[in-house]
Amino acid sequence: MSYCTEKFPDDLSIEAEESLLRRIPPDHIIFDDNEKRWRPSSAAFEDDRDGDPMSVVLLKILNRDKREPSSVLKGHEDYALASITAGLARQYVQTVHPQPLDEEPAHAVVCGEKTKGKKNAPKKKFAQAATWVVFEERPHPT
Amino acid sequence: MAETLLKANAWLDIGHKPKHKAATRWAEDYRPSRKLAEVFPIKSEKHSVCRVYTGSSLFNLESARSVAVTNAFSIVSPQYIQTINRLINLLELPNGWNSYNARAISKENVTFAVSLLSRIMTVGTPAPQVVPKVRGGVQLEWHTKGINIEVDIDTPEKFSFCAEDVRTAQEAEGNEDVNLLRQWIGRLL
Repeated sequence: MSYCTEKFPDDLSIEAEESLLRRIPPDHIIFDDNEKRWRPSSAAFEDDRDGDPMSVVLLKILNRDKREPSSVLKGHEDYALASITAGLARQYVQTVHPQPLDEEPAHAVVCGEKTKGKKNAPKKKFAQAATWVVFEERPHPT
Repeated sequence: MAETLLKANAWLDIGHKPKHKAATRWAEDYRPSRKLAEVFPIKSEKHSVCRVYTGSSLFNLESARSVAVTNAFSIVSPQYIQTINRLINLLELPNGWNSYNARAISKENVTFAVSLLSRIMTVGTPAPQVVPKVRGGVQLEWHTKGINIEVDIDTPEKFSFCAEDVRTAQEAEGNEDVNLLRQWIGRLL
């Protein structure tokens, strides 16, 4: 049994198409000139510094609690909010585990190796597939 | 005030190559009393251009001039300047800068990134996008001209990269392989 399946077991009640929201700091927003769009850097989808798994917020719980997605950015007004699906996370051998916190009842973690494999690293796949939920459009850099 | 004090991170054009040694010595002398003072030479046709920075402290330009600094803030590659400035700005990020408990960016990693860039960038190389990492490292990214390159620096003296040409599906990856990385960077010109 792996560390993730033991400590942060996958919750299959979270359906594959369910959205996992991740705050993206301004320093992690890059312009991909090949795709002609702003997107999160792969660096935005790494585990925490102490090895704790990557935090996300479950959109379904926000909806249940009648909260707007932008409420996740309270106190971080210059941040953006990106979404990946639970199915995508699982496709790259991650578990999706609800972990409600007092300050964020919709909190969950995505556990699994994210950086190995270089070009096929999960963090890269997440960054490429992520869609914006809250993002202030900006001009393309010249 | 007779002395000219400049904020840290100034660019110094130290003139022709023979003066480079003197400037390096000056930076070495400065190191004990400052958090960081290093000279990064880059090649140009006429000048050896150096970056001198001292963390968040101030340094004395007159002292630098005494080792034959000829002109402050002169440089040949604006993309290189832009990148180095961005890297140095990352040093200002506090612990927790990403709202998820990220570590402050390490000076050693920034210094290594500066050094690596001086080896792989040429005058026409586009500036990479510079991204801080949660454990104090830095990531350099190019996504242009059909080429994707990501360079990860997680500890000083070590880097890994992956690259792909989206038009041909050609891919490469490596650890500490400057020559291979330089070849891929060359495709951006």
